[in-house]
Amino acid sequence: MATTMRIVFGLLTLVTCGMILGALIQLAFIRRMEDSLDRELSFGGKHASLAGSNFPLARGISNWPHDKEAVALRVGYVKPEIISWKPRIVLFHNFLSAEECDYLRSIAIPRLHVSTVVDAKTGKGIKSDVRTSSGMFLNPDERNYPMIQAIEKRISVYSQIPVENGELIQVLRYEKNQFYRAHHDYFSDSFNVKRGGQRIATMLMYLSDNVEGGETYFPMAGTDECSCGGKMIKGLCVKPTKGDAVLFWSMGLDGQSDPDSLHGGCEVLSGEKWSATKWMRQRTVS
Amino acid sequence: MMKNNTMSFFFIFLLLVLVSWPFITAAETEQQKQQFAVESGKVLELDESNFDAAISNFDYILVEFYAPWCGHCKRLAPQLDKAALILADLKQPISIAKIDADKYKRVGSKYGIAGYPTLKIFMHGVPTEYYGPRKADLLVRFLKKFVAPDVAILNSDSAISEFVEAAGTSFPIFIGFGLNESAISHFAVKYKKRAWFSVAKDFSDKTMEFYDFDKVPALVARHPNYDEQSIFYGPFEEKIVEDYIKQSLLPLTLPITEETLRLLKDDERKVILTILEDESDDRSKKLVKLLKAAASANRDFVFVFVGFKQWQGFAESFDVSKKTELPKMVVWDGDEEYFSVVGSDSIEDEDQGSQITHFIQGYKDGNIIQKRISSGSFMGFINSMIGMGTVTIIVFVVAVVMIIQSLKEEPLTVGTRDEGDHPSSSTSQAEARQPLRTGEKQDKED
Repeated sequence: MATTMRIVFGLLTLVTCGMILGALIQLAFIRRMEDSLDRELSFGGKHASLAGSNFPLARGISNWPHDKEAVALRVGYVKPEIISWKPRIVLFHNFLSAEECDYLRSIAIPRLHVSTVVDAKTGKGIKSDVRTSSGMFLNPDERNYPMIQAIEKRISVYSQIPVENGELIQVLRYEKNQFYRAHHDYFSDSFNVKRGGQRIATMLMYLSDNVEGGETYFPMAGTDECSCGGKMIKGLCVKPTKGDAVLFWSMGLDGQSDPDSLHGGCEVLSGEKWSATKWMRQRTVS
Repeated sequence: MMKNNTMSFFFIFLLLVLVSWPFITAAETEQQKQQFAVESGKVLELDESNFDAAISNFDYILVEFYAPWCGHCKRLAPQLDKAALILADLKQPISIAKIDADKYKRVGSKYGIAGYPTLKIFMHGVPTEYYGPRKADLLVRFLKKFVAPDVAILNSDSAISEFVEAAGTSFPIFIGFGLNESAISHFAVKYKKRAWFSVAKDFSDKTMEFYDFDKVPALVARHPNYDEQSIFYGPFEEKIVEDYIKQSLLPLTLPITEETLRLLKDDERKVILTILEDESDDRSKKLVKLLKAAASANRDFVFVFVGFKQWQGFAESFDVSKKTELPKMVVWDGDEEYFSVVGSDSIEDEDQGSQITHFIQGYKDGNIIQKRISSGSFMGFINSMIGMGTVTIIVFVVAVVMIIQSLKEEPLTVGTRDEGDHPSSSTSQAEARQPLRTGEKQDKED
């Protein structure tokens, strides 16, 4: 009898301890929630003192440090800048973290490397008038990696186009002397529109630093002059800065294909330019 | 004691045999290799004893299974001789051999030989049926395809044009511009026998203009013999790329020939068949052009056309006779069933484009009448077209015998010959039927 009582008491103690522990964890969780809510609530108050020196956004610190969504979106780090309305081009500073840039490159390198080995086998050199880079696509499995998912989500939120409408991310490498002549991303034939519809916007992310040349240029955007692969041309040039992303629309506000969205990749003078491209369509892709 | 002695003797003998066995076999293969080497550039004559050795000895060997009495085989022999000479000199040499499968029935049945001649190519000992052309020069081209790498990697404009030149006109050509080979290598293996695959890493604007694409990555599909090309810009997801490749294995529109019928068999899509009066007249050419336009917008169908004049036998299986108003369109499942669309019986001269659209829309909406191929088994019909000359001969002989007999007995009766006796699959039979037409009325039913 005594032994059974002991067992019952033992169990009761265990359950009680567990409940206390659970309650404590819950408390801690609620504290955190309140914390983030607190900041949200206090936003209005701080907004009122915007003229004051302690406007938190200006310091580049996230207002939602414990909010996973906010972390995935890099709230507080990304700075959008509209650089042209016709065509519609938005430059997102700090769109990707340095880790994300390196991660995308590291996924791509082995697959690009293989091709270089084969190239070496045939023994053919790179001609000076070549214009394309070598590129590879992430595969659908990689789309499920948390880091890629975060990037896709971010693209979707900032471009306001559903993730499902995006094609697979393509990672590109431009070596010295490589460039990409001006073109449109939208299709002029009916066949390629069949699946997923027209391409409406493109998010171009830069993954590397220390590149001379290699700008993305928009010849139809404005009348200013800019440096493109060392030459001065008319239009708008975006320097490839690691972590930055440029979002441009192939479709104007009138819903029609925008011929002004003409763009190209300037010649790389030195270094290696790495970029990742996400094309977005009118409808879901698969 | 005595017993023990014999036992040990036996063991020693066994040991001896075991030890020397590898030497015996090694000597054998060495001898065979030499024998094969001597005859390189010539067509090897194989038999049951050295067949397996031959296919394991050569990385690539084309084997003709023949029968001494078969006429096609006799005509094929000089072509093989010619091809063997060229193929032996290739960078990746291909040997040619033949075996009398009629005599060595075991080998024949092992590889499922149903007709003569049958050509099989053994790649590292693995057999694949060879369906391609049998003329020496074309044979060489086709065989080169078999031994080529799955995906060719092209690094310059000149490499691209060399590749296209070498590929010839027999297969569609896929070139992935600015694509990594990993994007298509999987399909290059899968569809190796049906198309050339390559990726171009470096190329100039001139190439871009020539192939008419303005952005990369682009997957270009070319049909040199139909002078056709299509470009795919993505999305480069596995399933979508495969769909594109599968749909592009066939050109937008193709005429019915024995060759294309075989290709159609491998395609899962429904066939939109247009029956014309005459494939080669201007009126038909105009319609074919419109069909092409319709095909590029409806890649989920295969568009084929056939001239009543060119292939009456084939057209007749779709309930078309001389009195039917042509051109006529039907949707065919590639086997024994086909559908006609209500209200789109024939295509009139005026505004054919919208009539085609109307037809396709009608099919999609389900305004259809399901029908069956009229004359016997259609697969039987196809099979008979493929080298089953024996059937034709038998039918012909039977027909002739019957004609002679009926002439002998009662010169003017028609009843002795019954049409249902044999499938109306051969031309000889069609001829035999001709005189009957006067007697019986064979109007179209609907």
